[in-house]
Amino acid sequence: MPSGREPRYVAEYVITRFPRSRVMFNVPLGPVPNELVAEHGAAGAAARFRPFRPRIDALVWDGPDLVLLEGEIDTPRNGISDLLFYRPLLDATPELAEAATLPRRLMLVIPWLPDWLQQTAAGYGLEVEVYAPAWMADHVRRTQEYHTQPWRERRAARRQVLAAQGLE
Amino acid sequence: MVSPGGWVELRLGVPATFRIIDWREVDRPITDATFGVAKTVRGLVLLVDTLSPPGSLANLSILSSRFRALLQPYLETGSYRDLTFTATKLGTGFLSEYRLEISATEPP
Repeated sequence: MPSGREPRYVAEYVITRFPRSRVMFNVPLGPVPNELVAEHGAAGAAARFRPFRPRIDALVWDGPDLVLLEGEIDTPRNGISDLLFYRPLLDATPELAEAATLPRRLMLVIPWLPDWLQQTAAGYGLEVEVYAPAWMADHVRRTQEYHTQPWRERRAARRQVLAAQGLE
Repeated sequence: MVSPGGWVELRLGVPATFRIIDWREVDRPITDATFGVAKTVRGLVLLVDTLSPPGSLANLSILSSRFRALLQPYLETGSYRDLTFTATKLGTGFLSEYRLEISATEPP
């Protein structure tokens, strides 16, 4: 997947749904070890510890609430588990101490809504928003057709060509 | 931080706050740091009014595809005109990342 598809998807949704709200994108969550902070300062420690901190797609200040927002194009199930994982991590995030007292809402944004996901998300108290811009339609169609017979045959033919050229 | 040449330098962990005045897409030749291969990447150049430190016009170059993807909808819809942006560089080198905060600009 192009690395920019999901960030663009999330930003578009935020513009549409929260056009005047304060928002933070790509926000690291969780604590940074004190030993690293003592040695390198807050910014240096955060940079060194960066690979070990999960990042939420967006935080939105919506009225009195803080919305924890994840966009998931291909794997909506991951969005549910990510949001449940992120919710308590917010309390341990030094950069977000000011936001820790706000009421939290968890919001999953996806391009299409399977029945099972709606029921599961509701059970966990998550809000699910369907956002399907026109440019997403082709991607969703290709994802849904990926395991069909014609697409499997196309991939097999491609692999044969690559193998014949010594590329696979 | 603005260089003598008029470019915003995003420094690790230091938020840079700005308003976007104008923008354009550019193609930049770069050399892949890992494989040493030359290639061209699409990037953005923003003309910004810097607010920290305050008060000067400068250019901000963005080559990160994820950072560009976050900004592009704000640029294409024109909604950037009423907003204030704060970018913070989270890491350096390969796959450097940025946190981006956006808020409504207060009327003067």
